[in-house]
Parts: sequence; structure tokens; C-alpha cells
Amino acid sequence: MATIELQNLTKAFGDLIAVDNVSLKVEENEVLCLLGPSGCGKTTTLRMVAGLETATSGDIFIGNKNVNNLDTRDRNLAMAFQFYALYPSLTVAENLANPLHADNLSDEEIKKKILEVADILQLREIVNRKPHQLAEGEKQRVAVGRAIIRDPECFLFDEPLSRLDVQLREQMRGQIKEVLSDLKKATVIVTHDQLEALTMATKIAVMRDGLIEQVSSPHDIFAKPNNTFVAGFIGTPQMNILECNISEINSSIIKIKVLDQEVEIDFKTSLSVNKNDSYFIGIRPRSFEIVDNNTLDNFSGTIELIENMGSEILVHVKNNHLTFRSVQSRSHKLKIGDVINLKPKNGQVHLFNKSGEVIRNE
Amino acid sequence: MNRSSGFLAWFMDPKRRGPMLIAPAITVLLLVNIIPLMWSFGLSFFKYRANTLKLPKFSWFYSYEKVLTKDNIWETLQTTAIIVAGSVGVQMVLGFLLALLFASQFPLRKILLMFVLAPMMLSNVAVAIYFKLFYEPEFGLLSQFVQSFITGEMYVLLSTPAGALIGVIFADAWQWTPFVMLLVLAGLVSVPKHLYEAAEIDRMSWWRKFTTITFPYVRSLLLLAVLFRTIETVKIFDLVFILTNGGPGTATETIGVLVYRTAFQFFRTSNSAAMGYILLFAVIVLTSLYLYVIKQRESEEI
Amino acid sequence: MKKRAIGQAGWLWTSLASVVAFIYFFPVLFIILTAFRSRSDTLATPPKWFFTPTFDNFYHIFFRSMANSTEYVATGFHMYFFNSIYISGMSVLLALLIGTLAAYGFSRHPLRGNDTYMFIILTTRMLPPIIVIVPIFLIFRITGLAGTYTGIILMYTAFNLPFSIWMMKSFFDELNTEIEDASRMDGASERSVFFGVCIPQVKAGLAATSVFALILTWNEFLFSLLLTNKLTRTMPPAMARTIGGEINVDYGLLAAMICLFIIPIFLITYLLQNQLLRGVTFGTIKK
Repeated sequence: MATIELQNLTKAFGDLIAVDNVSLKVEENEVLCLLGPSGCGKTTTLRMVAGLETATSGDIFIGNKNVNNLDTRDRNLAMAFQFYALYPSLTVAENLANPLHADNLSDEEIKKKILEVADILQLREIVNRKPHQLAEGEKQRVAVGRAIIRDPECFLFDEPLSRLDVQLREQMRGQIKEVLSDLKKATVIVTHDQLEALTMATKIAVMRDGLIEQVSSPHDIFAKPNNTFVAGFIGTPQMNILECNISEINSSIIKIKVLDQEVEIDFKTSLSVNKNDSYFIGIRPRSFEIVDNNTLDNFSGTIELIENMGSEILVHVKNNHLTFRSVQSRSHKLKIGDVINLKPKNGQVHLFNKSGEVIRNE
Repeated sequence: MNRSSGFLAWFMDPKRRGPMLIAPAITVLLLVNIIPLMWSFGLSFFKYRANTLKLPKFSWFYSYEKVLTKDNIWETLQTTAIIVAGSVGVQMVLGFLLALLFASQFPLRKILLMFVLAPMMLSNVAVAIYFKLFYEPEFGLLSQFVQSFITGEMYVLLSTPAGALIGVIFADAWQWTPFVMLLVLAGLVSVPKHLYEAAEIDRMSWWRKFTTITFPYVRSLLLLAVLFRTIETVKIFDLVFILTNGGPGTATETIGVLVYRTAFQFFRTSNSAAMGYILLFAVIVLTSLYLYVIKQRESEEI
Repeated sequence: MKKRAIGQAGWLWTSLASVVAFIYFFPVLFIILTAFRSRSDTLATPPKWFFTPTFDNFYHIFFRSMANSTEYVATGFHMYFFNSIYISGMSVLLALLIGTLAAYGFSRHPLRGNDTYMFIILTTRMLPPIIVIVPIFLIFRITGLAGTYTGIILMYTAFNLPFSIWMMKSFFDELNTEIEDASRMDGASERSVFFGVCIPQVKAGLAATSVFALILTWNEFLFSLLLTNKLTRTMPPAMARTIGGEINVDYGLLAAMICLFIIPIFLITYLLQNQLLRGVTFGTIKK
């Protein structure tokens, strides 16, 4: 039974507060992703869990034990570093086996484990090479392999896929997810790539400037963002977030005014909003459908730019000074200059107040 | 300025760029080092004494023969080898230990490091004169120390061959250990921190950390330091001359001292040139061997 | 127990290091103390550690009494000091400039037999100076370089070139050439690529080379003795001349000279310490 729990964890480097009062919980079998832009404090948080940084204040529990004063080596963790940190003088096999030496296993047992891990991560052919002879993807796998060869309390991964190309990343994502679910240990992954987070995590914590913006399941992070930052950070192409005013409120139907356009949106429940106050409205590019006529419940505009996205296109639609983007299929045969009407799909519109917090009825 | 014509263009032509960049350096070395080298190399094939007015007589390998058959030179080479091995050996070990001492960050590190580097900044002559004072039987610190704490008598270190050798080795090692220390320290400091962190996660023992992570980084620099120090120590002259004058007898007569004596005391100029070139030949062979072995080791690792 | 980051040690370590450093520094300390002692104090048995300091030795550096008179005459030592600074400084700068250019050439435009050239350059350091001093002396005499600043600076530059070239070449070898290519594509001339892109990246190497080269030429004795005249003489031969014969070494005077003489190098090394450490390793280690 191994959980990781952080209580009011803070880390300050002089005047700079890198991690600000963070509290998180990771249960056994859970994979928590710390997601956020560079400099948001996610790596620092991970390193504090590992014991590589000392916390300024707060507590860290691993397996229900307060580990604040424990050295790294006593915390019984495994970690895969962002820059691999493979020992240059050892072969891949020796690198993999390294963590096992402290466990006093016999040579055969060590050999067996090496082969096991090598098979899982397809490292068999390169087992006798040195790190400087490996390709990036291979190095990455060895770093992961060195972490999973042990049986620690929990796993820590620091940007495990950031150095790989797109294809390799896809491959590895799947592999790692499989490996992690087999191992059933509490895991924390740090990444700035939302796709990684969305596919590998069971829980995502979005961080910004040392603070936790939101902790939810991947689905909820996407479908129910708590503020404009999370809403804009998650999902590609980025969500359209537009300033608007409320012109009319009719129980669950709110008429908003975005620049010159007035659109009626049915939020399905009544929200506590005030007329004439300014708000933000968030609609993902994929949340629009094209309709024929310009009625009250849709936006209209002229296509200004079409971006090619393979089988789909991203249209930039402009109406006066208002621009929003929408993903559509090619079948519509849209051209620049066309006038189209885009209706937001039901339930996929988000309303945020002036300070960016979501307005929702839970 | 028209780039495509004129002397400047010829000068800067990409084909010639390499040689052009190297040219000034080669010119200086040629003028100042290589030409005199050739001259004295040539001289070694003549019979010439600088204290007579006789013209040099061409005599093929006469000088070399003379030098190689005289008893002295083999003994001298042996003495030189002992001093080089002793001094460089001590420098290696001591330098390494000192580097380990200064590898981590601690308060006052910068200043303390300067104290340890200071000996290297003294001139050879200064070190020689003051160590001679230290070794002095009447006033020297060493003797007084021995007198007060060990025997009741004056201690004359430099009176025995062994003592003299130790005296020389000690002084030379003291002066140049900081050089080795600096190079090794630079190596220690360059090890990426991440490796030590991974080692902590892996719960590696202190010894394993050292042999797996630290030493490989340090090894190449240590070897470089040894290479440079050996080349320099083989030439040693100032220290030995002032400290022991080659004595007692010829116990500490290194090649450097012998060459000096041959050239300026006995004025057997061509002999001294021959000696020098024999030495040069020996050093070139050893150095090439050394570098070759290093290259082999490196390619083995790959 | 307070946890420390990897590579940090506390005051306990400082005490250990202090003891070791003190022991190692002891002979130098002796020299410094001697500079402030009278001769009798220096040679006292048992050793006199507490004494009244005197500045006589320092005074005597600059003013000497002539034999048979009590008149004090300026020795012109400040000139030797200046000469040392000028000659060492110039030769280090030249060696740096020429050597770096050559290193760049060896690195970026390797010729056939590159290794051989590099080795030959190394061999120029292998001969005992005694051997070459005579022909060099004669050549200098003939060409009129003897006693000139140009002559000795040229000599010292040649001394420093091998080390300079070897060091800087390994630095250039380590650089990522993509940045240079990008710069060229932006239309930069070769000169601005070299000075604007390459040089800034190898600053640490320049620092390391300068320090070692400076130490080498600062204390050099033999060549200065033979190749300089009264006007261009540097400190080491001047020091040697004033200490008299073997029997009557004026330890105090010599110590005082050493104290003054070591200050510039000490300062420069202290200032460049950080660069030095970073610098020396680059390129010699396979990463």
C-alpha cells in the first residue's frame, strides 16, 4: 500500500516562490500528472518528493510515513530523469542493474530482471552498448527501464518523453501506460505536453507559477475546466476565449453580446450572472457546427484563413474585430471569403467571470 | 571593399584558410624554436668547444658516441628517472586527494584554494633557495624540528644521496602538486550533478559512486596533468642546481644539470648538444608511446 | 541533521580544509614572514615566531646603499616590475591571439597530418632550455634582437604557444558548429563569425590558458637573464643579481621581492578562479 501525499508544500529560492502551498494526494495505482508550462514549479515539486530538494515548509508523506527528514536513498523511490542521467561508463545492462545492487540480489536474479525489463522495453539488442552509442529513444527507454526494474514504493518520471520525436512519443506513451498499469504503484509524472498527460494519467494537476490551478481526471480537465488558464492550456487547437457582455438572461438561456454579435446560448441550467457585467466565454474550435442560416443561436463571420490539419481544416472566421477558430471537415469545401454560421454545440460552452473563474452549476 | 579580388581575397580564400590561420603560429615557432633547434642539432654532429677559438669540426656521431659511452649519462638518466617518477607520483596522489578536498562547495573555499595554489606561483629559484634554507643543518627548520623532537642532533638531509633525492623530490612535488590538483579539481567539478542524483535514487554506495561516476571523468585530466608534468620535470635544472648542485657527488645530477655542466663548465658544447638530443629522442619516444596507449584505451571504450 | 544538497559541505569541512591548506601553505607563510624580519631573526635558532616586523627589506628593494657610503640610491626596481608586467602581459596576449587562431585553424580546417603538427608543436617544450639557449643567444645577437622588448616577447610567445594551441583546440573541437553556420547564412563575414560567435563561447578556455601562460612567463629566469639588458630586464634575473653569492643570500630581501612579485599573479588567478575551473575541463573529457 503506497500513497504519496503532499501537505502545504512550499519551496522558495530566495525571494522566488517556486512551489506555493501545494497539497496533493496520489493513491496506489494512480498516475498523477503534474502538467503546466515551463517554470510552473512541477519539476521542483517532483524533486522535493524525491528528496533532491529540501522543502521550505510543508510535509511529504510516502506510504503514510512522514519523509521530510529522510535522505533520498531511504525513501525507496524510483525515478526516471528528464536528461536520462545514464552512467556513461556503464553498459545498458549495467545501467539497468545498478539500482539492484543495494538490494543484495544474486547475480542470476539480477540477470533475470535485466532481461525482463529489456524485453518489456525492447532493449534486448542494445543491452551491451554504452549510453553515448544510443539514440535518444533508446536512452529514454533505458532511463525508464532503470526505474521500473526495482520494486519501490512509487515512481517518479520527469518529462519522460520530452526529448523524443512524434512517432516515438506515441509509441512510448502506449508502452509506458501499459507498464504503469501492470506495476500498480503510485506514480507521479511531470510533463508540459498535455497529450502525454491526457493519455497516461488517471489524474491531472495543472500548475502555474507554483500554484495548483486544478486537479481532476483527464476527462474533467478537458470538459470541465475551472478557469480560463486551464481551459486555454488544455486542448488543441486552443479554446476560443472571448470577452463578452450579458444582454439578456432568460432562466437557462443567456444572450451574450460579443462585440457586435448577439448570440443566445442555452446553458441547460441557470447560472448566477448579472446583466451587463463583462464575462468571458469559452468555446473549443471543435465545439462548433455549421448551420445554414444566421439565427440568434449562432455566430456568423467571413472565413479569413484556412489552416490545413490533414483530414480537417482550421478556419479563422472574422466578423469585424472578432475572430474565432473552428475545426471543420474538408467535406464542407470551404473557401476563403465564404460567409459561414457557426453554432456552438449544446453543453460545450463555458462561461467565466471577469477574473477567469468558471461559472457553473454543480 | 571588393571581396573577390586582390591580396586579401587570396589570403582569405577558403581553400587556404586553414594554413593561413596556422601560419603565424608556425612562423613564430619556426623562428624561435625550430631554427635554433636545427642549429644545435647540426652542432651535435660537429666537434666543437665553445671555449676555444677552434672551428667546429665535422665528425658525424663522435659526440653521440662520446656521450653514450661515458659512464655518466646512464647514471644521470637513472637519477632523472627517479626524480621524475618520485615527484610526479607524489603530485598525482597528493593532487588527487587535495582535489577531492576542494571538490564540494564550502564557506571560504575560494580563499583557501588560493593558499593551496600559491606554491605554483613562486619561481623555481625562490623555491630552491628557501627549501635550501629549510634543509640547512644549522638554521633550517627541518633540522631544528628533528633536533628538538627526535634526535638531539643537527640533521643534514642533503648529505646522503637518498636524503638529497628526497629533498629534491619533496621540494619539486610541493611546488607543482597544485597544478595537478587544479586539473583534477576541474574534472571533479564538471561531473553532471544529475548523475549523483540518480546514484542517490539508486542507493549507490560511496565507493561505487566514485568508481562509476567520478573517476571516469577525472581520468583523462589526470593523465593530461601527468603528461605535462613529466615533460617539464625531465628538464629540471634550477631546483637541483641550487639545492644540491647535483650532489652529494653526482647523486642528484639530473640530465638538466649534466647538460649545463657539459656546456658551461666543461665547454664541451657539441657533447651537450648531443646529450640534449638523446634526451629529446627519449622523451619523444616515451610521449608518443603514452599518447598511443591513451588513444588505444579510448577506442577500446567505444 | 540539516540536509545538504549534493556537493555542499559545511563549516566542519571548512575547518578540515583550513588545516590542510595551512600546512601546505606553510613554506610560503615562512617566506612572507621572512620578508618582515631582520636577518638575525630569520636565522635564529630556535625559530623565532614572534618578532618585531620591519619594513627594511621592502625599503631595500627600491633603495640600496652603495658600498662604503651611507647614501641610498634608487635601484630602479620598479622598472623591472614594470618590465615583467609588460613582457609577460604582451607575450600572453600574443600567444593567446596567435595560438587561438592556429587552434581554430587546426580544429575547423584540419590538414593532413594534423596530429603530427600538433605533436611537433608539443615537442618544442621537451628540450632542456640549456641546449637551445646558445644558438638562440647567437641568433639574437646577430639579428640585433638581444636586449630588446621585441626579442624577449617573441621568445615568451613561443613558449606559450604549444599549451595555448592544445588547450584552445580542444575547446573549439567541442563547440557546436551549427551556430556558426547559421551566422554565416545570415551573411556574417568569417571574421565576425570567429570573433562574434566562437570566441565568446570559449571564454573559459582563454582564462585557463592565460593563467597558466602567465605563471610560466612571470617566473621565467634563464632566457630573461640572457636575452634582456639592463633596460628590459624582468624581475627574476634582477632578483637573482641582488641576492648575492650562495653564502650570503639576503633572505629577507629576496622574500620581500617575492611577496611583491607574487601579488599580480595571485590577484589574476583569484579573479579568474571560476572561469578557470570551468575552463580547464572542456574538451578533454568525453561526455
